Amino acid sequence: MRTKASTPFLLRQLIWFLLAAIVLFFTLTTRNFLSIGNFINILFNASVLGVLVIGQSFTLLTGNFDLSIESTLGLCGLLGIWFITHAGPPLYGSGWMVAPTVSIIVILFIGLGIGVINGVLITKMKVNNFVVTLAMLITIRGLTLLVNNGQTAYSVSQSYNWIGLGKLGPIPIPIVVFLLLFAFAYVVTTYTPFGRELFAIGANRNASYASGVKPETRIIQVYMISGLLAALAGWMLSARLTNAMSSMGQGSVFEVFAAAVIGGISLKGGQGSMIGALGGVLLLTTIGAGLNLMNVSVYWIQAIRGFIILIAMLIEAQKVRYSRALADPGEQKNR
Amino acid sequence: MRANQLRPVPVLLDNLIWFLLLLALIIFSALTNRFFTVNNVTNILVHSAVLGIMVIGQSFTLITGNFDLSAESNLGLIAVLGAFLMTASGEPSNGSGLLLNPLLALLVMFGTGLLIGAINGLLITRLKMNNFIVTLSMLIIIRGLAFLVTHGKTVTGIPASFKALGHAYAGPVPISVIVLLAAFALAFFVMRYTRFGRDLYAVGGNSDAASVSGIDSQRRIRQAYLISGAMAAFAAWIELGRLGVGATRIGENMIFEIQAAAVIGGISLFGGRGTMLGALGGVLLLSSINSGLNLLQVSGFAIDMVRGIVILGAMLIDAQKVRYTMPPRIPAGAASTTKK
Repeated sequence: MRTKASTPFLLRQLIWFLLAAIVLFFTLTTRNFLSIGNFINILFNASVLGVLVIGQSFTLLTGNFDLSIESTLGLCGLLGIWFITHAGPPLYGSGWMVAPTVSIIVILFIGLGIGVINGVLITKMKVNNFVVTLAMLITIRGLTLLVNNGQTAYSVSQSYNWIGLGKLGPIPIPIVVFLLLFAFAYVVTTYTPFGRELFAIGANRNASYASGVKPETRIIQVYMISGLLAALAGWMLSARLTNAMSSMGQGSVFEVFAAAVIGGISLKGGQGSMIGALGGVLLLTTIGAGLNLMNVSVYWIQAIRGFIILIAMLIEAQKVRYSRALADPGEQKNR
Repeated sequence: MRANQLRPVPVLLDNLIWFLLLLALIIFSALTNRFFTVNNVTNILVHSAVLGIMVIGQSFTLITGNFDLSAESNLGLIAVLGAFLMTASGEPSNGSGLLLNPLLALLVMFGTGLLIGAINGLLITRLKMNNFIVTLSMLIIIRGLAFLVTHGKTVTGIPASFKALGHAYAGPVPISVIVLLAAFALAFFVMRYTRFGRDLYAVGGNSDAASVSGIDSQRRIRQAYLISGAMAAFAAWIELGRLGVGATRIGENMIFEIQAAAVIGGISLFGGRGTMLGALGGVLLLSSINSGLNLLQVSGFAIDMVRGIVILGAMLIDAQKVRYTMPPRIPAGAASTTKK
């Protein structure tokens, strides 16, 4: 890391150069890309993904996965609307008519609760983190289907929908929420003992334990953060759509991983920053928006996005090799 | 199996998956008399065929310590591509109009599977990319390509000769079941009794140590991905016969079930551990649970949830087994559950 000259700087900030290159490309190839309206649109679309990526980054920093977030998002988004609406058509809620504020608090606690279950199973019961969160992904999605028998629930409550549709002056509230959370997460991970401990655990768990860190407590805490933010993302998404399908969020964990890892968060733990993760989120969202403006067929968009993720990771892998070579020219690393 | 492992508890622990399967069979037989019938057992095996073949492919990569998340998209692309090549254009077939001979179509399908496996393997070994990310990106790309083939339309009118593997019977036994069991037997043999198999375990156990002892780890990993790609093509062949149509969404989200079956069966996600026999047990356990819950008329919406809980329960037991068999060498609080 501490090597001289301009190249390492470029490597460290690679994600922003990639983002700049992508912005430049779309600016040249489409007419309306470089406008305030479009930037607000990109940030708006990035908000839910961004909140999920923050949560995931916390677990990734400690060297853990949380695959279950996409299902937590689905369950909490559906329950948030389901609690507060009439039963039967046209809204298909529970008929319980819970006050929106209470409903929101409840779903945030459900998110926290899921995080606690994940964390305890992983740390206290020693089950593999990948398997625990994979099983939770399946279980919670099943629960989501069960709650409303697969039916979509609709929300007409202003006091629920504001987080998705409201505006603070000219800026949509989801953007404010997501940027503030990134700033907060950046401060927490960079400047607090808690944040530094997460890096320590991810880099070398046994060493961190030896130096007085409590890895198990911290890991449970990061899963709680991840669950809480997934619930928040569920609220934001269902409020923006003003409805919640039981399949909401399905498949999004792939994109969350892609954004975090493109942004430089290592899957092995202990490396990366929240600012980089923000860059990853913006890169993926910008690509989506640009391809839309270019009128690329929807059938192509998915393939192209996957391809771009692959290219970004290819560059990233070469960066790691290059900086290793800089650090230790003699090293012949196989794997 | 060495003699000192034959004490009662280790036998139970070593073969945990079969006891779990037995337990599931007993519970479902007690709850409904339609469960333990020739018909239903055949049915369970038929439903295991595609999952089982996919699990074989995945197990090869897992034993080397690598993921192949792209397998599910691979299955989808190959299935829809194969169906597309063999059928007439326009409604209702939605094919290419090439009416390709089934044998040629199979050639293309296996070629595609091997090509994808080769790309995965090359990116991971030659360009030193993380296997999780490579196959994750490929999962997204290949699913996109599958949509491109027919623009999301379902292909019908697949030749009967092609579909035979997936739905014909040899006497009373479905061909797909024979194929499934034969494939597992072959995979078991390869993993246990060939140099190739032992190399894979060595690579997964400790890649650097394997290299030092003269194994070309990188080449073995590429070969494991080739096998995974070919298995996806094989599974696509069976799936097309079973479903009778080629849909772009074939295999979507199946990767979770594939990994769950392999891991329940004792294949470690971090390489070097597990047997093909155990993986077969994992496949049969998941299929039996599905079938049993169906027969008990549990709501389709609840099945997913129960399945998740069962996987979690099985893994919980497995984790306790690992703790029991391996005395802790590091301080209790620091015991690493994370990837190393």
